[in-house]
Amino acid sequence: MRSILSPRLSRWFLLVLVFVTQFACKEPYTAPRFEGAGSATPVRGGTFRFAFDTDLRTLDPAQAYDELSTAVVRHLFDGLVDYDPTTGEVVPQLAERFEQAADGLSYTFYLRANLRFSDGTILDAHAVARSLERMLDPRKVPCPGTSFYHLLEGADDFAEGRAPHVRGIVVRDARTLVMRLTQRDQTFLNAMAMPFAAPVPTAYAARVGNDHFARNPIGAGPFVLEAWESGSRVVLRRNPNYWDPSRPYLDRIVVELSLARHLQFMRFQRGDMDHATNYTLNTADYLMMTEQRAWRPYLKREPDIAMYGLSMNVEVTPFQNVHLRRAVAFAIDRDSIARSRNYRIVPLGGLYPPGLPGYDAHLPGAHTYDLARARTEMRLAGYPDGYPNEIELWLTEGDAAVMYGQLIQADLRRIGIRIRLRFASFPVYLDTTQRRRAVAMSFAGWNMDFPDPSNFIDTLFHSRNISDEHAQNQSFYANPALDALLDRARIEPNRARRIAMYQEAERMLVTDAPWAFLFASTRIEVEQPYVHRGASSPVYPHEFRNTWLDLPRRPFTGNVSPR
Amino acid sequence: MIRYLLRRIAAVVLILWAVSSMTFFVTLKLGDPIATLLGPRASARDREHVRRYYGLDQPTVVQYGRYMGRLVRGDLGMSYRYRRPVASLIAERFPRTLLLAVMSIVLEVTVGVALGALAAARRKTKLDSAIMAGSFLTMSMPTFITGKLFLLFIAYYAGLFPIGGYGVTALDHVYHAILPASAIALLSAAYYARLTRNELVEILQSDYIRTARAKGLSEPVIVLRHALRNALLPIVTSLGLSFGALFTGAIVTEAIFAWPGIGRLAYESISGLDVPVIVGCVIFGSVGIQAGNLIADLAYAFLDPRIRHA
Repeated sequence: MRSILSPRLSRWFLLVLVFVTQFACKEPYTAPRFEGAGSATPVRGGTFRFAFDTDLRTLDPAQAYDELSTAVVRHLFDGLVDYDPTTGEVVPQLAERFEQAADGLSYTFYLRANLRFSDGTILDAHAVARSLERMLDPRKVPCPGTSFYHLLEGADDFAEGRAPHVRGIVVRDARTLVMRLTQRDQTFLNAMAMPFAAPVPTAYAARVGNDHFARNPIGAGPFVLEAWESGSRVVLRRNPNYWDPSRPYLDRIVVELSLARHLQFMRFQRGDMDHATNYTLNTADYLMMTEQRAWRPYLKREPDIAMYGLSMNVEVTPFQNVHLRRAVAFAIDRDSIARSRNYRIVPLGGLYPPGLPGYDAHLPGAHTYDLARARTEMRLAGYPDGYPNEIELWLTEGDAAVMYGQLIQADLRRIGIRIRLRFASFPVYLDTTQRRRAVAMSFAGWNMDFPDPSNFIDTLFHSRNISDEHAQNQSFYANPALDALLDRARIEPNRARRIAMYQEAERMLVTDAPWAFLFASTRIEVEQPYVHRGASSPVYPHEFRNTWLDLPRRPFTGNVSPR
Repeated sequence: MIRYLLRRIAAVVLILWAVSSMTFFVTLKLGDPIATLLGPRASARDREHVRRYYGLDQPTVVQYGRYMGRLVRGDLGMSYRYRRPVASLIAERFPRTLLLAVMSIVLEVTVGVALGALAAARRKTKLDSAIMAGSFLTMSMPTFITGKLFLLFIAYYAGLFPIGGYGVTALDHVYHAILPASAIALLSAAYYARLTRNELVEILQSDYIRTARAKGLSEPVIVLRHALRNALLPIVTSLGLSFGALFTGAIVTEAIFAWPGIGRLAYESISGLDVPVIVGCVIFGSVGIQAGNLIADLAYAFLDPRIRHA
């Protein structure tokens, strides 16, 4: 048989084929490309690079609620308080100290001396008060988090335009600020540690306009904005006037924007990026990292304070029936779900994930895989031969959701519940699952705003969060006894008693099973060998104010011991 | 000609109104923009505050009326997501997509026409077969395949080009654009190669070419100077059409290569239900396509006197 190509062309074709095969069979980055110089003490300087697969929305702390905006904003703005990296407790930041009044109804913050924004404007108690009022005024900025501060005395009157100022924010002197609440709230300090409450120079924001401010912010954080190219990158530069002269170590942080996950990982392997997380690593990348000995020491797994489960709408047939809900909760094999995700998730039988205060590893009545118990509950529910109708399970689109959906479908089939999977885009999913009596069952989750059990249980199960549309309590579960317990816990000053109350509330939930609690996620991070992460925030994982680079980086030998 | 132009412009305005209205209503049916913007963690009270801030608490008809009122004045509105005028967002992204479009067009036309001319000149040889088989193969490979292959082999393994992104300086932008532009061009170059070859084969059999050969002109002179010029007519027309389509078709390529152009903006706005930006991108795409069509029609009339007279 004669070739259709001439001998010359055939040679070329063969050459190209060899070239391509050579590349295709070669895994070029089985080990890090670079390692550090071996310095034992922090080194100043260098540019730290990481990436997100979304675009940056805003740099106004009053508007930042998505993960990327929050991550960047946290480098540009400091708050009065923050979280201790080791204990997770709220500690002073711009405030030198703070105290809670004996009746628990007011907090006094004492500011550090000589605080200034990065442009040199004075940052005193007046500036903090004006900044909080800017955030609480819905006519000025569309802040998505004012609810965290609604217990401030007069906040509602101010928001509705009935008062010129918030009565509960009182400037005692230039360095002392008092905040009065209408009732005790043990999570108020957590709210003050959120970026929404970070001081901004309000005169500058008013002069340039809030929309301009959101793109050209000025704060009192460890970095200042050097450049923001929409959809491409944002560059932060060290703030030379930062109140803490020992920080930050880095000269610059570059965040690449809208960079797809597969590109992030390729860049990370090539040494063009310094940090990768769950958001960067897909399953294959994660497995590759765990299997390669040279990379393994740089791979870290930590609990991510996030919980996932099946929300069952107690107002919709058939989930008014508590036994049917329990049957679902005990029929799902959580280990097989964890296995399917290469154990990047942890089976969970209750609401609180590991790492959250109140988490109980031995929770009585926890939802586990117990087929006999599930079948008993089906009999008690009145369906010994299975539920006759098909139930629709709503999920958001995505590969992981498909996997979860199919595993849940197979598990529930064993107790005679037939599930039809309904995948929807995120907007449609939100719109439908949070509408009253619209959906029987949905796959849902919650990750923390702050490390307190109230942020999970109040939001998802208090009846005050039920509304006809956009209900955060998407199982529409209303239990007056639970509501009363949560209201008491929220104001309980004794921490141990408070946590015990939240644990009691969790036990009520696992018994009533408005959700089948399934798993908690873990946070996976991998850094280049020359990156010294330093103490990181327990709440805001993408924070690098304590990070330093062991420069100059050198070709990787594996001789510099991992941290 | 002026009457023809006015008629075409009126039709374009009508099409733009229909397209923008349809997009406006369809997008609103996809879900609640505020719930999407703020995510599930925002309380109902905060959602209401933000909804009022954006004027989305008004009935849909009122929102539509306001939007159209602004549109007539040339104002595309403000993005919910970025709190910036949509026009400025598009103006910022347009040069990036334009760079990609121009580079890919230059590549596809140069490579496509050259290969087509070569195949026609060596008609019924193995080289002709190889070029046509190669073009058939690349035409069958969508950009999301070729793009990823380019990234994997040329950028990641060989390290010859950056792994996606846009770069920092002007020269860097061009360097970053080579791979995505090549991925787009590969598909169209194959189409232009086949088009050029077919046209040239037909032209090379015509009487005036036979006369040129009889005069003793060399084959390259005949192909390049006499035949190719006439064969370019359908290429110019399809170029006009594809130029407009490039802006809308860039969504896939820009997503694969993390190229921050109009396509990427449209993609992210659709995921975030940012209605003003979605409508703005659709209007921009429609204008691009309509302008491309118009230019193609005019170019055709300019190049072919028979059409002009008709």
